[in-house]
Amino acid sequence: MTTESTIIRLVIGALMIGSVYAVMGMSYSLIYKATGLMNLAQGDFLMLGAFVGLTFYKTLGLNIVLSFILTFIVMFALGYVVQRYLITSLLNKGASFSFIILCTSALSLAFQNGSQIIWSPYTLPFPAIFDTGAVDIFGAKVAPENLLVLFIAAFGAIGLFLFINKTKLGTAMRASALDQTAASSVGINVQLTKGITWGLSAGLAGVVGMALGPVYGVYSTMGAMIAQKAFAGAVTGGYGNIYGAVIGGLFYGFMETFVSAYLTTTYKDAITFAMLIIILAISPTGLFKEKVIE
Amino acid sequence: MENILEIKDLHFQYGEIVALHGISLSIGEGEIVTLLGGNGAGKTTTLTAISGLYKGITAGEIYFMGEKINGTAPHKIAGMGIAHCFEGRRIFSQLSVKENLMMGAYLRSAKSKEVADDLEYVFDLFPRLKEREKQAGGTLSGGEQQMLALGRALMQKPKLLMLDEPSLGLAPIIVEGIFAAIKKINESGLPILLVEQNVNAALEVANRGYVLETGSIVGSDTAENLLKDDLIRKSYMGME
Repeated sequence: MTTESTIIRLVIGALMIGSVYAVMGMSYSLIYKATGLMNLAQGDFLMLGAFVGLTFYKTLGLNIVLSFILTFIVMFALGYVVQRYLITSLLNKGASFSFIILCTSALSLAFQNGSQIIWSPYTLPFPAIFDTGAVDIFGAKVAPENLLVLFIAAFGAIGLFLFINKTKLGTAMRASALDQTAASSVGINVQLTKGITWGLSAGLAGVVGMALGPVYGVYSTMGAMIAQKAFAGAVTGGYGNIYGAVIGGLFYGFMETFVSAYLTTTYKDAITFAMLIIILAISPTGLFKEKVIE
Repeated sequence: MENILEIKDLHFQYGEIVALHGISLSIGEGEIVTLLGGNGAGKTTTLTAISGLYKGITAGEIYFMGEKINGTAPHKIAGMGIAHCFEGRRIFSQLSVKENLMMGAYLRSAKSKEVADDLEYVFDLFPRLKEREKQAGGTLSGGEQQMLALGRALMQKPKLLMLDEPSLGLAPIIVEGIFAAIKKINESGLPILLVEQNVNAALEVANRGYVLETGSIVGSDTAENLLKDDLIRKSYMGME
């Protein structure tokens, strides 16, 4: 294999994982922007999506596109329910934000253990989606499932971007994030838009998780490390800034891919998080300042 | 004449603090009614109670077009046709002028001819907004933000418009323009409930006024009579 094709392969790999971090980072930022909260169970939405997708695709034998759509719907519903019934009821009881964040951390554990009970404590294989073997891209051999991850994540990120900026409901979500009182005074059901925000970010994480199934296999902690990297990306990009999250996510995707290819695989995560600490030490609000944080 | 809004013996508290001790007031069709009173008299509280933004009503009723609305969620009250322009304007700072206005029409079909006509109406009323259509709301001057807040409220096509301190912090020349717009808006038949520190300007445009003091109504009269009232002139207009 030529060096050129190695680099192409690495770039595609970096884009794949980077776009996963990007879309997960966007979902972190979205939730933060819309509700001022941090959802520590975000990675577990990804993991649950992988299990749910596996159930639709393998156990029930449904068509792959239908499985993706149903996974999105199930995960959307789960995210919506978590916000509307768990988070909102805590807020109504006067719980402070730090307790709610703790609650999402507990939720994360519950999801991970629950998935072990419902599905399996071991890594489940996700059957190949495509009949073809590796695809040739400029001389580099790439599994089509990896390209699917890239496609789903990019599609999700662009779709989310368009939804937030170009649709009425998306604009209403931004309006609610800026000023809840003013938003409800023009007739926006702020609680509903918050629920939709959580639903969207869970749904997106879920389909990304399902796409990752064939690449990594499906297991209860698959979301944890991805979520941490995506979180690092979101923080680096300026927490709450969804565009910054994309850049931050891609940055860590490229960094970890090239660090493990040319330097060390053992310490790639250490290097990733050291990078985060350095960036935060230099610029505490991340690279792209987000007004909401101030 | 049927009343658009009718408040009967309304009591309101913020937690333990009692803000309204049983006020009653009404607004008829096409009227501009103003609430006068010093800081903490309960003017803004009255508006907040009407739009349901803070759940603090402990007794009494609010009827809007014959329907009891206390206890209704704020977005539903907005949907019934009450627009609330806040003190401090509270436009969506990071949304463009156009997006702000379209959020006013959130409950209406964005593509309908009526919404397009109303947008045209707002732009005619405030040509400045048309010029700055694509600019973020937060980059506008104070006067322009007030125009935007008014415009956003009008995009709701309300049946009652509530204005809280529309002149606050604005230069006199701008205030004049805002009040001219209020007058013009009312001429189209829209009833307005106006809270305003600038008592003189408020009474100039209003039909009637209520005087609030520490959560109670201590007087009400036509705007004409209130303007002549010595006590009002002394207490709120700084005239001897």
